[in-house]
Amino acid sequence: MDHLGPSLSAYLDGALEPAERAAAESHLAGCERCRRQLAELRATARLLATVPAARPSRSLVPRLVVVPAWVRPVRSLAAVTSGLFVLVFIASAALATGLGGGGRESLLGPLSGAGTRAAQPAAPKELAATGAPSSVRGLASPAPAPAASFGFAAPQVTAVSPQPNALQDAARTSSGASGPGAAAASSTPAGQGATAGAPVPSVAVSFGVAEPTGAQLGPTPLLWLALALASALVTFVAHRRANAA
Amino acid sequence: MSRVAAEGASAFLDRARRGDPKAFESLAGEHERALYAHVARILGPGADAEDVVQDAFVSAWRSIAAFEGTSFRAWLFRIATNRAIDLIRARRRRGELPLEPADEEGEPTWAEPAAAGPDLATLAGDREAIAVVEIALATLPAEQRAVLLLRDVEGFDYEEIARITATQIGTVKSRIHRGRLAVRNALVARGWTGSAG
Repeated sequence: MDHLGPSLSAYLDGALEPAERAAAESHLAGCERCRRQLAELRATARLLATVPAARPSRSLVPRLVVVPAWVRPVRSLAAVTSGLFVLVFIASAALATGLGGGGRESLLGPLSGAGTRAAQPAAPKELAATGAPSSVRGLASPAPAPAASFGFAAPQVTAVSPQPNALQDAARTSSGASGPGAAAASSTPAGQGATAGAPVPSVAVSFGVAEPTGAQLGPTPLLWLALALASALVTFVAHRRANAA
Repeated sequence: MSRVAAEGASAFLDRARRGDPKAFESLAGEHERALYAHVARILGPGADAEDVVQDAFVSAWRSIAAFEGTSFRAWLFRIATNRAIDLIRARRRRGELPLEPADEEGEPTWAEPAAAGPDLATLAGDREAIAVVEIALATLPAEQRAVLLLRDVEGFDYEEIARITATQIGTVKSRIHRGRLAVRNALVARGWTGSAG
């Protein structure tokens, strides 16, 4: 009978068909030479399995997740901006509450529903405020908040009675929300007051002359809070994006 | 335990197939070392072997949507093994490597030891013997070396090896046997002998 020869490795690896395998086993039982060769091949295979593994000198996994160049700067900028807005919010809220009950009301104003009522007329004024070169002064000036966003009463009062004294009286008796606006109008010449019938001019008046009566920063402290939250959100998103790689 | 092992390789494979680069990177990381060690045994360790593995990963990522098999590992080994063999052929064409003997036909010879020596079966872990094995491996034809490594080091079965190397089962059987016999002959030439099992 022929020796197993090339079939020895296949037998060793369990790769023979059942019939071939049975034939190989019966041959091995009676052939000392094939048994010896099988043992040598088995020992060789075991030695091969222990050949040491080389290690790469660097990472070989390609970087598939690429962080766009803008993500990290945006994350830093948004984080700083968020912090600044929080500070401005705190300062603004402190100034607003410093005015007493009026400031508190101006804080709560938009939440109490007046904001929705005033939303339409307020919108263009706020646009004007942000677009105007005096907007920086506007930040430090008190009047815009009541006048522009929810102190809808103030321009109306101005329209009805342009007399400064009447306004001041109204300011003392009315809620604080209209206070700063009225105070701003109080230093306005009567002639200008007459032109303040339309909402937009009344804002211009407030911006122009209201500094001495500073009450809060910007239209409303809640704006700064919202900006702070928005910046924090941008920071968070950019951070997630940067860490995705 | 790695993230891939903890969460299940098939979940990562599904995500990678849907185009999730992060999942692919995790999967590739699982096979990086074994794949490099395999390619380094075929090509020799170094920058070429590293480039082959890295290129294999890039190629696998580009065609992952078309991958329909079940063994991601076998698929990676196929890409990397074929690239390594292609590189050896290119080196040979450029004259950087001598032409290697073609696979012989017929029954390979069993070298007989000059004198009785220590039993091959006692050599497990023997450094000198392993060095002889490495040298013998390096002298095999590249295709034979690759197939023998896929069997005895990586543990793929004959059918998987036939798919990996795109050859017939008969060719795989023949290459494994010839490769093993050549390594055995190298060991016997150094004085080791086999004993009847």
